[in-house]
Amino acid sequence: MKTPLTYVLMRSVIALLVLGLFALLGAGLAGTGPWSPLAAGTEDLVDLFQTLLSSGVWQ
Amino acid sequence: MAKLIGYLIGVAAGLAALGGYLYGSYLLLVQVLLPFLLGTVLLGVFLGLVLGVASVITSYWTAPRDLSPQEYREGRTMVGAKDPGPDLAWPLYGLAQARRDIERCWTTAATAGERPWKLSSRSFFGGDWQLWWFFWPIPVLVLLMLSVMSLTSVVVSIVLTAVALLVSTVVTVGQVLVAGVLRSVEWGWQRAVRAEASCPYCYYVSRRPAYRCRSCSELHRDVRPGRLGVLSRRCDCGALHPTTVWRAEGHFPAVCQRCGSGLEGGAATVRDVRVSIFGDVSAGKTRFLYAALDALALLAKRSGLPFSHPTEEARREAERALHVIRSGGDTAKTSPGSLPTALTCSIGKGPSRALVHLFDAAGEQYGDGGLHDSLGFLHSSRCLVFVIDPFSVAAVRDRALGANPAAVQAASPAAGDVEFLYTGVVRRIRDSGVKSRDQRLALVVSKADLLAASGIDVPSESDAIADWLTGLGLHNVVLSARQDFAEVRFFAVHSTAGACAEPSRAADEAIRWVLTASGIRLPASVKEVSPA
Repeated sequence: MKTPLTYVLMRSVIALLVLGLFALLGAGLAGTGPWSPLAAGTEDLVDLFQTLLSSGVWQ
Repeated sequence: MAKLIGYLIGVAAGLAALGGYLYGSYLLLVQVLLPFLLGTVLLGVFLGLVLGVASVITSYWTAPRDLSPQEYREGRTMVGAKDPGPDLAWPLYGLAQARRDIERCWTTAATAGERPWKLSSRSFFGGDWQLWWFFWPIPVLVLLMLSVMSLTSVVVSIVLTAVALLVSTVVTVGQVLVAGVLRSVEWGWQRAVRAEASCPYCYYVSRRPAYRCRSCSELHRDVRPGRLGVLSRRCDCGALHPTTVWRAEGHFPAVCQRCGSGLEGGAATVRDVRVSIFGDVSAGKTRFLYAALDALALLAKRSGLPFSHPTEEARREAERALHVIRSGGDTAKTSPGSLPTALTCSIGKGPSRALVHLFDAAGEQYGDGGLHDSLGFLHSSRCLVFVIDPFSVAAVRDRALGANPAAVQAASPAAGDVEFLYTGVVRRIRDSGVKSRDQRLALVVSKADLLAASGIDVPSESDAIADWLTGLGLHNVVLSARQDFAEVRFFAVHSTAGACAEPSRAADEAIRWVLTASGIRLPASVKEVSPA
């Protein structure tokens, strides 16, 4: 049973698109690419968390 | 006293242990849980991404699971239905396989993500679980990480689902649009030229033939662009076949949808004309068929039209017929024991090409009510030819016997009643649901050459022939024919080859009218076309 070429093509396109989306997300978190503003947002979130930990009531 | 002291010591020890536990928990909370909280969440996200991406790669690249043509057919066939379901070919990706791939991705992610949950569940909630919960921040961190991991893998699967649905929908909509256009063009063409697939053996007529895969012999009954492919389809055996009847025709052999017999080239792509010749035993049906074939061959030759027989069997039969009619030989009696096979010829070229099927059954079969239902070609013919033997009419026979007994003996007159046979045949055709406006009739008086030899003059014009027949007592046949059919034309023909017949008596006129009434454009008649 030979899988049709169209199936292989469609699957490849879908998988590449998904991986590409996550690659863009990763690049954005690293501060590059079209989604680079994500990096600043993430840094703000981490800073907030660290601030809460260092100045919180826990200490 | 000692007992009280012991009790107090016990209480103090208990409080100390509780305090120690709470202090330890506080330390774990502050020193372990909170500092590692962010890391735990990030680790969960990372593991979720790895799990989700691995599921995508597994489901779409390394180990996809195909929906086979058999599974697709089973899924679309109702239990107990007579319809065998779709052909055994791979369906379009977006219509069947896309959903299965999405499900496979979700299943793979769920199965892979289930293992760490089961392991943690056994550790934290089964067996020696109390020990773990003594250090409760650790199980909390692990469970938090697993939750984040599962959530992330769900997000990956949702993203995949959205992307897969989007891509599949866009591609499938495009495919459906192209398939719709191709189908419309094919449908329009077939309607315009009245292209059909008619079987010369079982007389079944369908919009398109079935095609037999050369590799696995599987039948493809519907090669229209659609669910199984737009421009081409892949057979279950892996062979690639084109869609549409035009492209399929040159690719694999066309067969009848009902009996599986091979069909001629051009089935369902060119105009398909079926002409049924009926009449009494020895009325001259076969002789007329041969004379008509001769006229067609002559006409095609003189006008430069391509004329051929699509199958070897038809070519041999035609050669035999032409030899008989041109040499003036006797026509063999048509076998009453078997149903006729159409004598098929192809005439014309390009878009105006047509397949002409000439049906000639033995006269006995028209009088047999049981066999009549088997004569399906009568129902599917747009034009019928009713051959009347004039010598079967007592008035004509008696007069001819007086003038030229040899001619009557040569005529071998039909013995049956013309009106009885006509009424029986036409009533059964109408009973089968064929409407009168869908059919035309050529009423042919045969053996005109023998009539002339007997000194009986037959008119040559259609209305005059009708009047002549009316005068012979066949007025019921003449009147009924004009009511039963959309159009009727009367002819008197010689039982000889076109070259030997008088111009107004040649079968050429009759067969020309029959074919023209069926939509075939022919050049001027044999006599008018200048010899090549």
